[in-house]
Amino acid sequence: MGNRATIMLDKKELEQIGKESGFTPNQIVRLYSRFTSLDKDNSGTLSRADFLRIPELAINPLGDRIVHSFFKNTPDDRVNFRKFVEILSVFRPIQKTKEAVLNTRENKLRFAFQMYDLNDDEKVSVAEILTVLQMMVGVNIPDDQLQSIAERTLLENDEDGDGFITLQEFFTAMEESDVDNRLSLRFLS
Amino acid sequence: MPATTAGGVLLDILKYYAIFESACALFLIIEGVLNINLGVRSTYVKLLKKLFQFGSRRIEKKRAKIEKTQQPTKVWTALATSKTHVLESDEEEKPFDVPFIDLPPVTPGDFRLNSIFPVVMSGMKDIIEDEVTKAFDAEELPAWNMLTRTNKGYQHISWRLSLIWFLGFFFRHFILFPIRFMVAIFGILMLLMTAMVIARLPEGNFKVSLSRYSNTVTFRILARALSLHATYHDRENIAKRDGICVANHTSPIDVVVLSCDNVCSFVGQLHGGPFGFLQREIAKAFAHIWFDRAESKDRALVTKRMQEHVSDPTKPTILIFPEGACINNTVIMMFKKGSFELDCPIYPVAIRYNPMFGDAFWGHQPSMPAHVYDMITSWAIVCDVWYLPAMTREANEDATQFANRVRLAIAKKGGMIDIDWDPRFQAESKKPEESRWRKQQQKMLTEKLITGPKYPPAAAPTAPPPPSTVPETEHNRS
Repeated sequence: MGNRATIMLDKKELEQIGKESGFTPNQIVRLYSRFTSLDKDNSGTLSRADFLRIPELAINPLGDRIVHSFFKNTPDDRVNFRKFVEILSVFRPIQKTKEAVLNTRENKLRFAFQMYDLNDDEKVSVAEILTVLQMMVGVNIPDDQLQSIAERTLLENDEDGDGFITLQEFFTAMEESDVDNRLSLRFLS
Repeated sequence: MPATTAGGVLLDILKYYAIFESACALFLIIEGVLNINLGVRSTYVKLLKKLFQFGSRRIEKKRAKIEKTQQPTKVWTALATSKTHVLESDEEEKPFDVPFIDLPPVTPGDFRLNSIFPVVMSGMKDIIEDEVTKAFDAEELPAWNMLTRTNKGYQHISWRLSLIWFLGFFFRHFILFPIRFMVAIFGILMLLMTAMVIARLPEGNFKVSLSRYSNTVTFRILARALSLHATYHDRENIAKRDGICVANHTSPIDVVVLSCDNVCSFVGQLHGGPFGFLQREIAKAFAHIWFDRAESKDRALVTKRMQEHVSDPTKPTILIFPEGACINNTVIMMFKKGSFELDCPIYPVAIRYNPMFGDAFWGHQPSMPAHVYDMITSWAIVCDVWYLPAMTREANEDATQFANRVRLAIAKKGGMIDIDWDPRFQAESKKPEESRWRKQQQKMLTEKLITGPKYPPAAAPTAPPPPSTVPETEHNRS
């Protein structure tokens, strides 16, 4: 059981992480318990395989993209607990009474944008939209139909007509979206 | 001399201690042999219940909620599945804690950039907590039950609590453990010796009845070694020897629980070492079916032996755990269809342990002895057993459908969540499972996002989300 590892987080670390992320101490302890239960080789870091060992994530059509977002800027392709918390904290609900730390609307949208941005060049092309569509629907729709859906989507959102959707254009497109509710999780404490 | 008196006193204490422990052990053994129940265990459990009242009641309430729903909740992930369940039922709360905010429905048949949001969030939710991994972790307790192993860093440990914990520790390890250990050793030795004697008897009615009797007595003794307090419900449905008894699997202790009430034949793989020796010896006297590694892969052989056993009127009911692995007792996973292919009635049994008193789940403990030690030093093993009415395969069902039907019945009765995942695929090679499920996901997404629904949505999308979400957010825009 991963519960024995709760002793390994010291109070100072807990406070520091709490300040950076906005999580309560109880929530951090819970996340740490989860982190250690995923960390099969007890290395203190998670590999991509550790994530994909979660069955529901492995079968999620966008599973690889989600996992990639954790590893985007990590050295030696491993995620430590702080990074784990940092990324998850983006999905804390926005609270009117507290100032958002990492869980800003922009950060949430930036995460969603990264799902499409396959080559990490800060812009999304038709080809990238197409690939994501293919991940989502598999072989159930022929490619040419998907291609036209991708092209339509790009045209609808490419304001300056340069053939790409930039992060700013993505923000604009999502203005009407209920981002906070749709890109937030309730974290049990 | 003060030294010798002190030594003498210590020896005296040890002597009385040993006598007391042995007397208790003997008392339990006699209780088992004569099949009398002086109510010591039930009083003990009642006392413990009072002690853990709060936590225990919370667990029972949670389970009752699951039982109340029409169908055991099918947790198969991602988007719409859990969502439509919420919309269809009148209840505001889901029967189990799902840590994500309800997402507004996706506009069907109309792909937009934000159509991927629910898919992404589902994945994030699963990173924080997922049902399948959780099923292989011990069940979470709503309050601490004073066992070190379940102490999940409950922050406020006062000195009073520590004192109670210490007293509990002392009681369990130094008073209960020696008694139970002695009873357990006696039980196992008795099992071995009676097996050896019975094996040498000539075939006949006497041998059959004697083996039944000694089987029951031995398991009753072993049950007392664990302070097992089992409540058997609906005993009129108890398994008869013309069929197969199937039950959900949580621990090797399941065998003891069921054998106390009904003589069963076990089916399983032959282990090595001392346990394997025990298996072989008792198979000579009692009609268990053991396979070695090679044989167990031969499906035809397994089926043949089981069929032979079922057709033999002198042999007891076969007991099978179709999940094939120990699950943590809150969920029930896919059944292997082997036993459902035989042409005989199935007697389903649901076993539910109350984890407040001691968790029977054999999860991450690396070895059987460590697991048994954990259980012998728990407060008690408390469980409920429900015998369900016999089920037979219908003409239009194949083995898999029949297995699913039985599984659902057991899940509903035992208040467990039904997960359609093959527990063997917790191991490395789960590619076939993965692609089967991913294809299902993709099909569902195709309908929702591209082609549009082939049927009207389950409920109007204007159902208000639970009030605990972020206030003041306008849900009429999305």
